Amino acid sequence: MRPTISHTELFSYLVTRHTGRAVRTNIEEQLATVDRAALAVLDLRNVPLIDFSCADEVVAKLVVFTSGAGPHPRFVLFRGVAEHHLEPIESALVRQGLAAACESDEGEPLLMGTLEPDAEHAWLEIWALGHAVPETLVERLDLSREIVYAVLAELESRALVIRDGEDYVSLGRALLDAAEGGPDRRGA
Amino acid sequence: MSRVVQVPSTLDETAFETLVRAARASVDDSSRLLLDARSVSWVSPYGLLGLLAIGHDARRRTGLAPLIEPPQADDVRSYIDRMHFWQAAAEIFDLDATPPKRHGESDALLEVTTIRSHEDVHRVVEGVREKAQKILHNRLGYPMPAVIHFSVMLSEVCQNILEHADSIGWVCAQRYHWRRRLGREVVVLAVMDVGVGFEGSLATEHERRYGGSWSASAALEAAFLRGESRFSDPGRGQGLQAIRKQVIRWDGAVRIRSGDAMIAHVPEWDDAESLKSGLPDFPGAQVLIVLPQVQQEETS
Repeated sequence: MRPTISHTELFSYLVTRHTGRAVRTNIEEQLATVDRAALAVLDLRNVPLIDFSCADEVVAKLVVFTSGAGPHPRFVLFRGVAEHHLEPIESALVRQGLAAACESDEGEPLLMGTLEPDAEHAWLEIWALGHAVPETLVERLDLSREIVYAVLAELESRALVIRDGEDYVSLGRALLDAAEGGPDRRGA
Repeated sequence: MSRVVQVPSTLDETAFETLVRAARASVDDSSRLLLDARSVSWVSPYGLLGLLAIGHDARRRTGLAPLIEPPQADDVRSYIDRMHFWQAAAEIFDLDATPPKRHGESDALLEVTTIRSHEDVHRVVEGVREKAQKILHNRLGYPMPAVIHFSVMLSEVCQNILEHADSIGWVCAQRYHWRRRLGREVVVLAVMDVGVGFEGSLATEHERRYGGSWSASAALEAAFLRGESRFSDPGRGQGLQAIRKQVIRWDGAVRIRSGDAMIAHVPEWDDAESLKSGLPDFPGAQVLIVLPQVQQEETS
């Protein structure tokens, strides 16, 4: 399953709920036009500041949106997350028990918010490998098959990985595949 | 007919209470309020915004634009001019003279700014960065990321006006040397509105749970200590919590007055009360944040 990528680069101060709501609504509207699986990629590299209210509107509410039920799977990846973005984003997610797939401004994977340690380890492993089947994770994480399946089910239901048959694909890999596979990207 | 209220010579958060009591007692439906500030010899950002808030309240209650006699002391007049007070005052008071033209860049961290829209919050936050760096980092010894944290705090506290007050409000900030009180420099940030206040804002969502004990102080505790909001949305209510946490990290003080109550985080260096009720009733919310200079042994 190769999702359609909806790419949004942000270049301004993300302050006030009003601004956050406008950004999120725009992304939700873009995703609504895609009649298949879609991955929204938000690049925060050029965002000098994000406040708590805006982090709630943009990050937490988009996570809720993508992990909700719908006719087509939806995913969201936050890229370019810098040190000064961390606290507002983490606070917005933790407050609601949410987790978001992120990548730091140095390209490191960051799983932000609330997730059990086993699920976090599995997510990081899948990110490092690009994709993995359950057996690979059983071997590499030294976890029981039962736990691995439970953890993968959670990651899938929270839209933190993409399930493709028996394979679980990281959002980073999906983005790379889309770029290599052709211009299946939407400007925003 | 005008009724004259004398403004205390030292106009700070304590004097604000005196002024509220006098101004509200003296205003009836037919009298125009005259704030006599001629003998003011020192005014804090909180006191400055307090004049606007009291004037706005009087105007709303009487329908008459209040009057104000400016301070006579040259240094106070000059300070008030530099803080762009008269531009905001002209929207509230019936001023004899045209407000003085804005000076160029002042030494204030943030001049008196009226907040009436999200665009105003953006302008304040985006405009404060350079001065925040000069004052917080260069002068008060805060680490560079504090400049961003301060901007976030400013954004959240200004948004409270728009999200909860249903009214306009004002913000300003200044650096001082608190020789007697602390022996260090401080940044003082004041934010005020004259809207529905915490008790009114949170009533719909929370009043029933409290039964007969619902009050301004209960509402302040709910919002300030527990992050409760008037919205059922679980993402709401973070702003005040974030402000409180940040102020604690910086060993600062934060005080919120609303209705007839006040709640505060009081650092060790201060001897203020952390919760108070029975103050003279006043609409909206009045916020005071004090950020002290970093002492050399401090690391954050």
